[in-house]
Amino acid sequence: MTMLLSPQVQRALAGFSRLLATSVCVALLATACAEQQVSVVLNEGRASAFGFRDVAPTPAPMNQETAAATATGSLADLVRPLPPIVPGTFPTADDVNRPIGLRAPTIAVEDAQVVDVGVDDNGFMAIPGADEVGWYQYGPTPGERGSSVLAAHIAYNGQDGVFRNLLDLAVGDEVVVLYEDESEQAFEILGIVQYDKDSVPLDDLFERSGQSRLVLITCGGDFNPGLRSYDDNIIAYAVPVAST
Amino acid sequence: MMRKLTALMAAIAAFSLLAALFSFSPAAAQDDTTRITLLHGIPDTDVDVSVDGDVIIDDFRFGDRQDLSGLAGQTLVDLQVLLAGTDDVALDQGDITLPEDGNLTAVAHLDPDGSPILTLFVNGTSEIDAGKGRITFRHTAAAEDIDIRIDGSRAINGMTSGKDAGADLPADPIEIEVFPQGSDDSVVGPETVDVVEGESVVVYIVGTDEEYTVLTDKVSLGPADGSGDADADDDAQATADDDDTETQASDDDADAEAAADDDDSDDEDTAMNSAPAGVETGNSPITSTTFPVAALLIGIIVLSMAGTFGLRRRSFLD
Repeated sequence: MTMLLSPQVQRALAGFSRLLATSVCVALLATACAEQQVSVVLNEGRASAFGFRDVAPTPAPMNQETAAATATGSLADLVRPLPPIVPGTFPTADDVNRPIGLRAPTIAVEDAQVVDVGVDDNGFMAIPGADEVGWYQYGPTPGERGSSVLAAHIAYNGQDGVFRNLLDLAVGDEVVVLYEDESEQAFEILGIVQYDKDSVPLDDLFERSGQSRLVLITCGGDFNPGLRSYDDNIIAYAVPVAST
Repeated sequence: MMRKLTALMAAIAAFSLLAALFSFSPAAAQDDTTRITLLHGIPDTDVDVSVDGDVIIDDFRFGDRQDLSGLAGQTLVDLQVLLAGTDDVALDQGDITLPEDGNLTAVAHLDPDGSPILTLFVNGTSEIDAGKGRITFRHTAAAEDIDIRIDGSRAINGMTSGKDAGADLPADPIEIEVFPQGSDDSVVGPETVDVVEGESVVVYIVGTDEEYTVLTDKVSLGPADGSGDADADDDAQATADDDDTETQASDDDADAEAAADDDDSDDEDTAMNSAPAGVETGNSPITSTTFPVAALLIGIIVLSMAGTFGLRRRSFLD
């Protein structure tokens, strides 16, 4: 039977079997891991290098000094100076090196434009058109501390989105972010996870503290024609690659 | 199937390691983190702060801040504010017991009569909706009631000394002006203030009718990490500009601005942001995946038709 199939059909069969395998994986893992659906997570070794996360500094022991600590030398030690406020000045938005482009050659993203986005009227992350990537402008720029978020459509108004093939990313793949100052930074994919939208860890994905990390987000899973929305989010996790 | 199960077990293990990096565990609650800040809001008045006769803060100047979180819950006996380097008492507070927890700013300022007074303000630390920032105005000036206009419209009407008012606004620049109540002659502004997404900015109106001005602060969660010394911060800034690739390179001018920006990023946790409600990145079905199925079916149909046709041809020729 295989010999009679054209190369096109052979490829199609392979793609279909892969979809089937992925669905089976998801289904099996769903029974093992009740809260989240996971499709592909590999690269234990690399991820274990980051087996801890930053912990906020432990506050100085408070209230442990008893009232008997009458020596005000110890009181003075408990008072810490802070940077002063300059009268008449106001906070201004920090200068940020904004991302303006993205390359992900392993998933056919050659030179996608990245634009600043915020939230829409419903409080959802605003997403640009099919051929652009949105950078969540209230979080860090990719490469800074905290989780930087890039999101793009899988499909929009009948057109393939930039992240059409996000699920095809492999652990170890590199994506490159281009910045407005014409610099570039490569990021290595550590894992790809598919979540039911009810279970997406949004607070973690949009956290602004901790190690520098990048998440790429799109939709996936079943499409609900009534809602014009997908059931799942696909998240690719990445960390900056040290420049050589 | 065994190979697939093994791969899945490995995936589960790797997933937990990935979780450690990308913090899948529930975020720590940000309430109940005690922070007490002391702010000097009296122009041209350098002071020492003494407790029970001994100076615990010396040379405290207009705009200076001190983190008193380490004294939370303690009773400061006979708290006095003295003119710096002298025994002249500017403010005799008596015994004061600091709250055990909460996020508070104690401001030394002038009341409407021009007398020094200490006011304790509570800083709200609830999460701010995505796309918004919090702005709070505090009347700590030697003035009667004031009005505050935002973008030309009166937003606060008749705020009394020692009181405050705030709101969560879209994270955009706003123009603020401060007026004596009912007057059209502004005493502060118009000034442009950035409402910072996910952060809480506090604007203290301070001064006297000789000059009113503002001290603008950000609400910090929890105590500073101890490296908030002004000199250390300036030094850190100098080296940071040179070799820290993560720190934003500040402008060379406006050192004050640099200090104001960098204290937050280096020492203080000021993030009260909420994540967006979701990420909707697809409103139409992906069409390409139906192709392999259709192609497979078409292929089977074509092949079976071709096979049938071929057999018939052979029998015909035979």
